[in-house]
Amino acid sequence: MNIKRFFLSRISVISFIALLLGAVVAASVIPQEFLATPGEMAAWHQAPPGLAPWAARLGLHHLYTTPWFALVLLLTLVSLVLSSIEQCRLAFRRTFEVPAPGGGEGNSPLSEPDLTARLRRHGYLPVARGGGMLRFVKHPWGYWGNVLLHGGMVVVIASSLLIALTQKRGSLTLFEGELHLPADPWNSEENGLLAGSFVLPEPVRLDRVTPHFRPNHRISRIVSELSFLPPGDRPRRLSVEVNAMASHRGVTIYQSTDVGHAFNVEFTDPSGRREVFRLPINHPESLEEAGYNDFRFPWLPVKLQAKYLVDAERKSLRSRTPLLTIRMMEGENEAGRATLRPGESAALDMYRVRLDSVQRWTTLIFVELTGMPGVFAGFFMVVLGTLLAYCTPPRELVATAHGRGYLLRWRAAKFAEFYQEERSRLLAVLAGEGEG
Amino acid sequence: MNRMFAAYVGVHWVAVVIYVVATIVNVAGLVFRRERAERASYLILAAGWLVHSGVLAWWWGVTGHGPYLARTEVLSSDAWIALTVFLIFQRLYPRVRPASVIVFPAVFLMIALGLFFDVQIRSLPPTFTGIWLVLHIAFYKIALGTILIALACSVFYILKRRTALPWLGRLPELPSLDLHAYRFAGFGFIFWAIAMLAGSIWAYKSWGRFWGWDPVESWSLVTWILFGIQLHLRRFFRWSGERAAWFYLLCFVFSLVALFYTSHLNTSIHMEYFR
Repeated sequence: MNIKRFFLSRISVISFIALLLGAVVAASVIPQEFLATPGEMAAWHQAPPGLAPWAARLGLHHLYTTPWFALVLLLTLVSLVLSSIEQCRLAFRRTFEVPAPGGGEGNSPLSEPDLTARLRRHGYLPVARGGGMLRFVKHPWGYWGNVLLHGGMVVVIASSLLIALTQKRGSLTLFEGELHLPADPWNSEENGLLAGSFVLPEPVRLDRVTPHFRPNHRISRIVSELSFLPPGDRPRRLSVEVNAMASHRGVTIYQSTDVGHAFNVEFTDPSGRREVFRLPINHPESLEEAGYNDFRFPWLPVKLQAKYLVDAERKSLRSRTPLLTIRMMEGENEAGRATLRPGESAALDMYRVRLDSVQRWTTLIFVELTGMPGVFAGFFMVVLGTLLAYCTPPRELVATAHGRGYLLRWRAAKFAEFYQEERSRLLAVLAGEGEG
Repeated sequence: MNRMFAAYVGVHWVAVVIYVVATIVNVAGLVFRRERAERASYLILAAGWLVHSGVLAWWWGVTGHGPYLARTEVLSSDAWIALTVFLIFQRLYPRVRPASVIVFPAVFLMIALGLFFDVQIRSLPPTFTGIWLVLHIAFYKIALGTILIALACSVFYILKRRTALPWLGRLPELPSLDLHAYRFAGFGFIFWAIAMLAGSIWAYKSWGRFWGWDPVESWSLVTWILFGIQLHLRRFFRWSGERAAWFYLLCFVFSLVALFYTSHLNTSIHMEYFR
């Protein structure tokens, strides 16, 4: 009982909320490993001397995965669960309780049926009776607002925890026409603590990716067509685009906004040795602008800087003749430069380069998770709960049998001042003034 | 194109001037107890609102998207929705009418501030589409309208308690101001929650995650929790009056940071708006 009292005490509740608030603020100020770039993390470690070791000791760089944050969350969850049960009991009692005897602030000469009818016309519903008393409530569901608010938070936190523990997420850069096998590595992978490694159920192939453009050449939509290829069965074709995900055997596929051209360039060194490099570059923002990317390959001792225009003629975004320019950089110095259309060759420093082919690429996100309906149902409960609690505060009228009529008592659960006119009007109507 | 930009800026300045005139007449009416002046200020304001609405609708047609991409559009639509929310609520709750002293200047200041940024026609990035995005943005703006009214009630409460300025006598009594501050903070809390909910649904549809601890998300959550604490203190710790008003001012500062600052951080996905 003492434990329950601890979790329900006002001080405990406000302390849990304050701790959560402090954690979120701290995580907003201190760079988090899962969000910040390595450069940002390094800068933080160097900046305020003395602070970084403490942050590391307390796990403030991965705050949401520290044991103490999990403990705060758990304590909050327990408090919310107990509070929800308590609120539920309270709401039930408030909705259906037979009122205690008390004084009256008005009289009504009406009979019970007339009184009930007039109160119904004003939105007051009969909810309880007993001991010569009748109780009517306007918006009785308002008593349940806090139950929904607290219950919704429980559902959101529990579902979020379930997702955090079991989710599997991976991103893949796919090239048109190429197959990705389930055993192939992801570009990046993010799995919950209790989730195993993420393996796609079947090989997947990107058949085509089509960017659509606005009149000002900006990308408006990106549509990918892909095929899952179950062994010994017909391919399962899917289409996915930004904001229009697709699903296949429990895996949801999202289209990212990354799209571009990949240039397959053959390098021949002075000894005649050949190697083909693929240079994927993001789509430029317009016909006039170039897309850029830098590359380093083990085979080449130098850095390659590449840029491309979608159309060598700068006429069409759907052109099949992009123009690729490669610069070979030795430190800050340019050692060579070549500009190529598909099929063309040129000299690049001591190498001979040839643009073999061009293909489109895009990045897709694959997600397998359980618990999303819980998150959104919880959010809806929170919103509905706050709406009921703040927008429909219950008002009750208790009628106590007195002689041939009733003594009337009115009260509002919240914001009573706003409803004084309603109270006066109601008491007047029940006193027999007007037809009500 | 330059003519269109000039027209956009020019008409906005016309709206600003009308709003300024409405504010002067309104404040004069309130301070000098001239009810006619106060009523007239609403007519002048209505003229400004029509001009403002017209230019926003026209620009929506020109750009092909709602007024929520370039900074100037964001601030202009924030001002428009805050004013519209106030106009609706002052009909439902006549006692919040004096909040005009804070809401009207906030409106023209937001528009004027927006006009100092470059007027541009921006294209929506592919992910920035869909009804959930529209609801996400709209409800933050509506929340701003209600928390401005709560701000006015809180500021009036503090002023009335601490000073003896004669015009404050025209404001509602202290308990009424306190109650209105409480109620509108509650409305802000609700609309903020709806905005976060819509945003999480939009994020889930776009990226497969409903929450990513992006700075904007984090500060929005911080603000919402702070509002929650304020309401919790009022409900369960019986906080009221000046203490609750001061705490509300802190919440308001956080809401400004969440709405106007964090979305400009480079680490935020919301920065896509302004690139």
